[in-house]
Amino acid sequence: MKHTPPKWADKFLAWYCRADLLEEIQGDAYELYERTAKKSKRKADLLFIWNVLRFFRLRNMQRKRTPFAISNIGMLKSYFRSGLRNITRNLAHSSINIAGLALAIGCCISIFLLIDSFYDLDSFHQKGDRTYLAVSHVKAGDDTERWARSPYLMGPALMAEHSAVETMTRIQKLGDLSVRYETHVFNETLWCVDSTFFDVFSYPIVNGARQPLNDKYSIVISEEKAIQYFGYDNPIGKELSVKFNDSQPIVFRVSAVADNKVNESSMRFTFLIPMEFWESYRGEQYASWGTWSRSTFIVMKEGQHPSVFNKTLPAYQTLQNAANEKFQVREVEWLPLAAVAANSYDIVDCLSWDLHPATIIVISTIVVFLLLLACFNYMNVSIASVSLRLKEIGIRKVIGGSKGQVVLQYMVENLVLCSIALIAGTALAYFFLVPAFNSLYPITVPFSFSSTSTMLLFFGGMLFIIAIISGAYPSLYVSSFNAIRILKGNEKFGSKSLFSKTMLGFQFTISFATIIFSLLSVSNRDYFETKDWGYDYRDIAYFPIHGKEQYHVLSNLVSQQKDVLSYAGSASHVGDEDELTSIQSGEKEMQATRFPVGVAYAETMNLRIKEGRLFTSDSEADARTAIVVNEALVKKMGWADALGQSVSFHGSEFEVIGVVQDFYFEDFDKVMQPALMHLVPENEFTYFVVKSAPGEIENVVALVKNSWPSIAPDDAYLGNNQQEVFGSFYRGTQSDSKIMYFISIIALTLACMGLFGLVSYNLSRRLKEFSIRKIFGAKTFNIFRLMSEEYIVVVASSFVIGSALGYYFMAQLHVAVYPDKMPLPQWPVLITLALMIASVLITVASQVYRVVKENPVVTLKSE
Amino acid sequence: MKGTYLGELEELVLLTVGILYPEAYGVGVMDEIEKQTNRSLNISAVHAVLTRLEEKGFLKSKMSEPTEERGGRRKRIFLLTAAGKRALEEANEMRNTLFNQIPRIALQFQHI
Repeated sequence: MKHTPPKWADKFLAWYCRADLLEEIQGDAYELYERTAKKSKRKADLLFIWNVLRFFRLRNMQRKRTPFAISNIGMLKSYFRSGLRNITRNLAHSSINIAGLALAIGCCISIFLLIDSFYDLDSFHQKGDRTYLAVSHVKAGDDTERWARSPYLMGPALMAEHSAVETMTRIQKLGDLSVRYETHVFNETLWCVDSTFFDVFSYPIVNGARQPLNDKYSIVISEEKAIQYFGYDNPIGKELSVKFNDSQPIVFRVSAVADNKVNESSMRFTFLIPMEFWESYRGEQYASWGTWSRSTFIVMKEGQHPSVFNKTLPAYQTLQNAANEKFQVREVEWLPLAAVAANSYDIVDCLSWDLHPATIIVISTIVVFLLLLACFNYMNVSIASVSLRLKEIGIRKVIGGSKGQVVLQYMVENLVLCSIALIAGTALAYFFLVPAFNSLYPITVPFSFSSTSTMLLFFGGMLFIIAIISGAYPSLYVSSFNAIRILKGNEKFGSKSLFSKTMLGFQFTISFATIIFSLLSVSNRDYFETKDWGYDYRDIAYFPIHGKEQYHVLSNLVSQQKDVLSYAGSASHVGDEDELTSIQSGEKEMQATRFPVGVAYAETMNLRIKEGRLFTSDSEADARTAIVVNEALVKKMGWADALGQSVSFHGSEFEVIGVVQDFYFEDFDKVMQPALMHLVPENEFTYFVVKSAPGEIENVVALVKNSWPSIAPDDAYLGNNQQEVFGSFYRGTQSDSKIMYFISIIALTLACMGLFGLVSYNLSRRLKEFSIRKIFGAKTFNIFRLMSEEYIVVVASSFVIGSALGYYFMAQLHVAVYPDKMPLPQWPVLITLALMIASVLITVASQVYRVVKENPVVTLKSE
Repeated sequence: MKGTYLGELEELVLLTVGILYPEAYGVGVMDEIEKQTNRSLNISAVHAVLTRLEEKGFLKSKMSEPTEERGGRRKRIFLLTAAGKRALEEANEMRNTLFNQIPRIALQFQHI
């Protein structure tokens, strides 16, 4: 009787053993087995297994199993060539694939550049790894807020007490100042900094003194400001006069021009003046522990860490908290300079610009989805295209191509296509997407990576991921075909499979969801545009002014105009400037927004009176003790009858004389807050507000603008129409919805490309069938129906799911962001439905047209 | 000389290959060593030594004609090369030379 050794052990041996050694090794193992098996089969089995395991040595193992062995390098070249040939043969389909991938890759690159450059901000400072921002943790109700402010005296105190500090600088920000050179007057923001500013930060000085801040009246300007004020003249030594509120202009001499590194720095200074000036401007009171510095940056010596301050800081905090009872500091955090930009969304009054992590997550998710869509697309089409290459695969397998080789072939072809797409995508990003992006947002993303390694890692990783995602399934799928079945023509495959239909469904679901989502966000914007602001903002203009002389000049000017219905002065302005104040009424204490105004202000602003009356000019009492409140305040106070209630703030008692309807003074995504108005004397006025007859406001604005140089020669003209106060909000939503439009168009395009690919391949496969149907008299419509019914179900179900998802996300977003309930209109569904029908019809029809045009005889005769 | 050094097991296998001429192959060598020296080796160890000797140039090999046994698989037949022969002779000679240098007296144990 013939015995056979354990099958698995034999297979294992055959699997790992080198082909050239297999015969002798297997032979010896068998010989020993047969010999032992004559005595005991069990023992022979065990011996065989033992021998197989003992033969499992490195020198006996296969070295040529991986397709990357030397002998396959030649094949790689051939795969590469056949990949290129396949691309050129089906140029239409390949271009669709490449275009889709390139589009998604371009989006990915743009977003990556944005995120990369954001996290790389401030890395150019040479002492950046030793520089820290002092962040105060301030008690705010039950929570703690992080503030960029810290005591003005803390920096120098730390430096005096600790030898570990190399240097430090403080920054004070003075906004809204008029800066004049000859006849050029602009409204600017100045930073007052310690003279060590350029020791701490590595902003290069382009022109002028190395230590430019030593003189009290020196000023350092940024390059773009130098051009704005002086054109191409040498700015060094030129005189700029700066007007600080009502005082006389002060002359500063330009000592240096510095590059403020707009694209690499999170903080953007435009004008720097010495802190010495600020101290004399503030007077003696600056030297108190109650005074804040807007930011304090400390540079530690090499190898030192701010934790050495731990013992000293509590003493400072005691001093500071005693001097400033309103804001109790709990602790000081030392934030490394490199982390400031990434944290600034969470830090009150931070000088760095911020990008909320949620935004980063949302846009990254969107682009990853786009990329996935494009990959699925490609996957679908390439599976469908297998139909045309079945014979090739069969023959490759019959003449000895292993499964691994077929997989490799497909992967290489895929890599070729993906590389082309990557190049195209980069070009797209460079020439189109990044510039478009930069034009939409107030930031400039340079087309460069933070480091070469980041760039290589990004492109390499991207190519790898795309090639794997889009290529793995098709190649595995293709390679698993049985060669004989293929050649016999029995292999069924492809576009009928559940897999590719699921993929198509997934694509369409995502694109419908994005379309619905973006249309809803557009409708959202429309909603805001038609939203009632709580007052009629049309035909109102406002002009920031300084002091009562300007107020009188303006009053004289506009009161002569017949189109002017009313005008008023004010020390704050709805939508432009207001102030949060603690108010008290009986037991209740809360925060309310305070508007110190002139008598006719409420009336000029068209505020709607609900109860009581507005201010009158002839009442002495009004000027001192009357306030007008909004409905939100009444509600929060819980007053049944608001009129006559007494409210106190700033140490005085006020009486409510009127209630006005709630009006928006902040962005629309905030809940309506309590607000109140009280009268202030003319010399405190900082705004001049005018209401004109309907449609005439432009004339009034033009008149004021033209006379401005005679009204206020030292001040920049900052007048505006009232509807502009929320301009930035509208422009923001406008940019967002432009992006959303763009993304949903890309998503729809990608989905249609996928559909197109599937339909056209399906059609090539069934060309003969349709030709025969035609011969037997099938109408075009019948063929059209046959072609489209497969897809209609898929697309229709993804339409339902996608719309539901879109609505769901928008509703979630509303709940999370906007306080008031917004309508979710039906029209986006109709538009999407129309888009869906149109896209499917056009795609299918364009293909059916091919069949209709073709002479059936030609199709049937071929092959 | 590195590379031509002959280990103890290698020498044993090389000798056995010579003894079995012209039928030396894996299992045969293993059996012969067991028969002659009572050392029981694993077949994989014999293969490893044979391959190593072939790499050193002391052995050459060819495939035999297929036979009924071993499921029709051929054997790899090993033959001594000239270098192999010289290595054996040198090893033998070295042993003899060394042996002959042992003083007679050191080998006369009974008189101690």
